[in-house]
Amino acid sequence: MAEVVLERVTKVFEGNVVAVNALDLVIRDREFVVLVGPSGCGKSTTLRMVAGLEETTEGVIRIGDRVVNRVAPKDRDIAMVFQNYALYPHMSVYRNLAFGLSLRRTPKAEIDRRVREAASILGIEPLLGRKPRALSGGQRQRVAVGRAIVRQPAAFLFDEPLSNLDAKLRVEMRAELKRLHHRLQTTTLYVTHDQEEAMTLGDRIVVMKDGIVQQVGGPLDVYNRPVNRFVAGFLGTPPMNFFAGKLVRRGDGLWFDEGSGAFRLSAAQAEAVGEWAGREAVLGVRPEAMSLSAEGRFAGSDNALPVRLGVVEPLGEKMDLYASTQRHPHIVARVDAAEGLSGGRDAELRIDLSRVHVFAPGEQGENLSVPDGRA
Amino acid sequence: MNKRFPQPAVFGFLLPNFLGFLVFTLLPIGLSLYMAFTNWSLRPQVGLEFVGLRNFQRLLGIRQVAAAPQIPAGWYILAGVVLLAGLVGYLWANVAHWAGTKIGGTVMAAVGVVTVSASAATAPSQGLILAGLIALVCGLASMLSGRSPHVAAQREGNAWRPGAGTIPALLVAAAALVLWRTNAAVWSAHAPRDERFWQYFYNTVYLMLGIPVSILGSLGLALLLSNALPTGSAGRRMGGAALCLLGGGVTLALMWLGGMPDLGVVGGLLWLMAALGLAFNVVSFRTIYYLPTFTAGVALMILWKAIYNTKTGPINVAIAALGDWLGFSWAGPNWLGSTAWAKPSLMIMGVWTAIGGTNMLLYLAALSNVPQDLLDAAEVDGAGRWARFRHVVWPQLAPTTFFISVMSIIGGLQGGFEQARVMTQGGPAGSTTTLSYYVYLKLFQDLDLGYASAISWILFAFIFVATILNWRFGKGLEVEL
Repeated sequence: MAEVVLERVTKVFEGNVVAVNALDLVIRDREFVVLVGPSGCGKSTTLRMVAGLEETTEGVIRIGDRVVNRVAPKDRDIAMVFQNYALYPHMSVYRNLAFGLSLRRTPKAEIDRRVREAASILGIEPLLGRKPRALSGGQRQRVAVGRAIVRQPAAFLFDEPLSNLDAKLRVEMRAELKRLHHRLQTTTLYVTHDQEEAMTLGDRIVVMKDGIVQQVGGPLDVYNRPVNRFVAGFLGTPPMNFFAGKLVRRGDGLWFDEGSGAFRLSAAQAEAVGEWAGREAVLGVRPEAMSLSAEGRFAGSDNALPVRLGVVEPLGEKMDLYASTQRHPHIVARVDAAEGLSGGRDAELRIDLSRVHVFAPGEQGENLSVPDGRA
Repeated sequence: MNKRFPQPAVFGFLLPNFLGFLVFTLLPIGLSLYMAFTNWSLRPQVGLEFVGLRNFQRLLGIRQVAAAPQIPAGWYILAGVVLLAGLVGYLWANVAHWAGTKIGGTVMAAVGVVTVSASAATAPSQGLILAGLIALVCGLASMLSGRSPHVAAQREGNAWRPGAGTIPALLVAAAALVLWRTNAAVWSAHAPRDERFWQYFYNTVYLMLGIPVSILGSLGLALLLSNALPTGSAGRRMGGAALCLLGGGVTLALMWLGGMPDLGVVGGLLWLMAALGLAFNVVSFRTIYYLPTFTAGVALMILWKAIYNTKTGPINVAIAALGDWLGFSWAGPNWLGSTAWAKPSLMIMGVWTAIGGTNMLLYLAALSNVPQDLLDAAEVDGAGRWARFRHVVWPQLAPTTFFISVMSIIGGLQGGFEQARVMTQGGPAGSTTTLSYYVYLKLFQDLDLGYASAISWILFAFIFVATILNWRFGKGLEVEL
């Protein structure tokens, strides 16, 4: 059990490619932190630096109260699980689990006890005598996790451990990893490109892009209060809709003019973004913040967006509508399912204006409606 | 369209290949098999006759040279049964991963060492020495093939049977001893009919002892050359290479003017290699080590003949010069001219040729296929360089090692012809004649085509059996090393 601290950690690869840029992060003791971001964002490099498999160009990494920059991976007291399991193919499951312990000259009886304990936690006892090639993907991943927990390290490092599994198995293993963390309470750093995995697993998630941390926070915190347009678009499926437009003052209210429709922002938001009045901005609306009905939180006359419906995807309770306006050809709304709705006709989408975000223009425009968005 | 049976046109496309195989491969093979059963000779006065198995009898048979003692047949049968039981049990013990082979093997090896040294110290009784040697070999074999205890620990019930796996080895030792005691007199009363064949077979196998060395060497080179050398930025590398070229030129010129052109050339070449290494990194060394393989073999042998020359060869010149310098009067060995040094000389040359050859390329390819994740996982698990090699890299290389071993053994059994023909004429005293050169001698010296064919077919049988044994037992053992 230990705290893992990264201070101004930077990795520059040959040819001056900056993979990770001045990353600051504190993973508290017993915490499960997920690094998430698109491929090439530096999340795996960060993890490998913590593991000691990559050298740190600049900055300090501490595990517990030790600076480990110059410590070999085997002496860092960490265990790592790899994307393609990385099981030793010629060793039985038992030897795979015991390998790290026997290299550390642990007594045989102790190895046996720990291997069996890890195997029973993961339910792989019947597989101990088998070779990895005789196991299914899910079983292999269990063994890989077992190899990590058998060592009882100060921290676990996971490098996209579920991405080689099929969808059903991935959900199962996800729940299992969460249970495991509840049980073992080991500090964990977990890397994934799958935002859903990140949201479900992490106590806190760290969204990265181009080697720079965009936002750190609890899953719902980041989801509900994304600091910029990248974070807002990265988390959530279907992704958030972005409407380019203009903030205008009309009468006593602040309105967002989309072109084919205009929406009156809530009083709180009007106050937060008031100084941007009269300038270009981007309105972010999550698919589930839109509806076809005009009741409840969607009620009102100043929140209607006339659209033409495209594809309709019924999901059961909900349905996804793909719609377009003159200026925005790709709009997705997740609305209550209604039978008999078909594409190709005009409709009015209502927007829950208490849940929209106003971003500064540009791909990474900051969230103007979140108080610390500009920090 | 009938999908199951190909159209006649398909056979038409296959026909040229098939005809070529028929005419140039199958026909000669069949012909040589037939010849092996005839007295076919190139001497015009010998008429072609079918002689049945006579060639093979001459080749493999034994003849009586003295009065043989009478031995009860029961002894042979007993020894044979025990030997068979031991061999079967030995294979079984390994396949079944019997526990305890290591402890038992250690005990037996110790017994062997004690017996050998005791009998050698008191009276050099051959029987005791032989028994000790057999115990030693069996002990070492069961020790090496025994599985380590953590496999035993995971088995149900934690069964630990000390020495259980050694019993078969013990049986083999006992049978061998009985056979030796009963058979010694019979053995000395008989001799093989074609003693040269067995001598040349021994030569062939002896020369093959260089194979493990060259395989290990290839692996070592591949490990050295698999990662790029840290040579710095492009500008620094090119600058360094230019400096090395300059250094080579200066060395050559100075040595030449100083009256030592040979040393100048050698020094200049070393500088050139350094320059190439800086400019092209490991690629240049891979190419240099591969040079012997794409050079004509005969040319290399002529070169080595010059190197081994007793008077003017650089090795003996260097030895003599070193002796002079130290104040001794040293003379190098008579490399290719003595029965003691001829075989080692050929082996050294063979290792030199093979070490950077195709085997190195195969190992380089296999090394680049070792998944980086496995190495990373082992590093995190706590494996140092050696442990990573032993537990991750070496097992991953096992298929390559197996393939290389099989091909080398086949090549070794077939080999030795060019060396004998170009360098030693099979001498001195037949010490470098291999089976393939024997085939040649029988054919072109004795003009005895039938007998030469018979030797070829026996050689084929040896290779075939060796390869089958390799396939059957080689694969499993490699991975566990």
